[in-house]
Amino acid sequence: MNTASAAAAGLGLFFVGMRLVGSHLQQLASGRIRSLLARTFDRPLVPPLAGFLSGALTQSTSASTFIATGLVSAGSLGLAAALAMLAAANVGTSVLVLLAAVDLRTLVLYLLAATGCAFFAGLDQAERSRHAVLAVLGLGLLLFGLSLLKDSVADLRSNPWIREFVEFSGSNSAVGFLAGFIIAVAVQSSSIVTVLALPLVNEGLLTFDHTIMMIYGASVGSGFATLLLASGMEGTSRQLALCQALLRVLAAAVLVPLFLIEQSTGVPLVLAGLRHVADSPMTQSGVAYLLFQLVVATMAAVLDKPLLSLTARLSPPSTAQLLMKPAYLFDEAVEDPATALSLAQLEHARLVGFLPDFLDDLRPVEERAPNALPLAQRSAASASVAKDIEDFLGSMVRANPEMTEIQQVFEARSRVLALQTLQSALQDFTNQLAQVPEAQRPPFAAHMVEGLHAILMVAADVARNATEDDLALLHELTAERSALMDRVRQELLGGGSSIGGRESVLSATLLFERILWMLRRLSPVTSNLD
Amino acid sequence: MNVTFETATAATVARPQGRLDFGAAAGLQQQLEEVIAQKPAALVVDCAQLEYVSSAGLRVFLVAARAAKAANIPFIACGLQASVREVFDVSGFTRILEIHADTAAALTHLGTPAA
Repeated sequence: MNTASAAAAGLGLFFVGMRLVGSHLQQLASGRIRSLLARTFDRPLVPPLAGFLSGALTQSTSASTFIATGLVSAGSLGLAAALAMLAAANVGTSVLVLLAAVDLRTLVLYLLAATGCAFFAGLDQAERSRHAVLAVLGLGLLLFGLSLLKDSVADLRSNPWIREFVEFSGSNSAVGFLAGFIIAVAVQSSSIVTVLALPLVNEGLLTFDHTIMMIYGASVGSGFATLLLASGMEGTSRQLALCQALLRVLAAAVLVPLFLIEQSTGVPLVLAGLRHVADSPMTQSGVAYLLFQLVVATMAAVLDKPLLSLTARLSPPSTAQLLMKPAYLFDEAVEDPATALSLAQLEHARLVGFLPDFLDDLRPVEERAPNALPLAQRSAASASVAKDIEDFLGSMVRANPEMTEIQQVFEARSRVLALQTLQSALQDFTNQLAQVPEAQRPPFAAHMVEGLHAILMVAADVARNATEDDLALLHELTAERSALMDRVRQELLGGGSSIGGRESVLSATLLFERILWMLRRLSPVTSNLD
Repeated sequence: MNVTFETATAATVARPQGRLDFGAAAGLQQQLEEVIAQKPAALVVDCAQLEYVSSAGLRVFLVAARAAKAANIPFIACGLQASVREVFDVSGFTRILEIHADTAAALTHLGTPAA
């Protein structure tokens, strides 16, 4: 077999294996495991454990950063816990590097044989075992690809072009660091760079010292890659990427000077330690990678507060992210039903206060709220907080099984349900009218929007501070007006707008009446006035 | 927006002109509150020259009507153009405000025929 083609095949198998392992282990970890993690994220050890698993499964700190970002955005995880998760994800990526550093050639062959038997038995077709079989196949191909690479690298050493290139990369520490940085940015993974460097150091194409600098460079580079991927993000999503990049720079700021001191003075430091823990330069390099990730994790644990405060200044939370967080609910309050019910009521009132803003997309820019958001973001933020209220009330009942306020809990839950239905109807109303180009909308559409906006502002007042006058006012404003709406619909049916446009406006008139009906029932007091 | 005021024995008549939108709402609200503070016999808002009203404008009517009610001063809106009337109708504000066809009808209602 030609050496170059064997190296290319090894590289190809490595990448196929990486893809199979990543995608099928993630599938395997979805469903029950994911929901178990989501339910237990408030326990101290769960975020680091989840982080370690995600790092080990995805082999990418960028992917782990975005998983943590998603959990923070969904409100499942606080920023401090997300940082702990990220720190552990870095360590998790070491699993593959350490596996690759050990000579597992015989194990790999058995692994591939076992996968073949599983295919023969049809286990790759069964839903329950499919992902496990394909993940094991991926691991087998990955490690087999690596062993092919290792074998061919020994022969490649004689190739003058390759030797020249590798010698240049490893010619001095700075070049090694830079090469690792650039390749890691390109492949978005420091573990892949390290794994691919292992055969080179094993065959002496790279010196051990330069491999270490390449690993340090790659680790900083993958943090930079995460930051690049997050460049379109804002607020907390970008904060986590910034933390990831800063932590890696800080870890390099500790380890690179130690390396340089050791090299120039001969004082035994990190390199001596690595040589002490293992015999082969390949294993030593794998441990060096693990060491870098452990330094990152330690720094995350020690510097979490200043890091989060710095990144919050560099990338403050967006309006949508701020609106997505409850303003009044906190976990400890569920222990005291009276306090919890008051807080749920305040949060509910806050959400009702956002209802007029659901119409912003339909209103002139100068009439919109100062913190106007596109409808999709506005409704997602409000729906998320409504769900938080629902969960908060559920937790309160679970924490106080003997509570006497069960009737108030039932009423509060009903109000949240009514609010969720109202949010959804307002979203439909705005979407219906937004489908019709502004120039084609009949004047009545704009009148309906302004009228509804005014009513929603009164509803917000009532939710904040319901005096008897306010309640009576909302009751009057939401009175049935089918005669007016029927007349408008008759006029629309005979109008000149396009069929599609007319349908949307007609649907909006029906939704308008439904919204009024729901607003009348939003407050238990107004519904009692019926 | 421009607002003119005419004070008579029976009522003070405010005549806003143009667009009553978010930008104009605070100014008109302040002017109406100042008039109410002077305790007129009644406050009539003649909307004949009002071309547009947004939700912020509707709120001005609501706040003024409440302030007038608290001060025991009759509050009437009149002369609504068709498009403005439609906003009042669809918002339900015609149910909570006293509305007349024009200033003459409003003053007649207050017991003083227009001059």
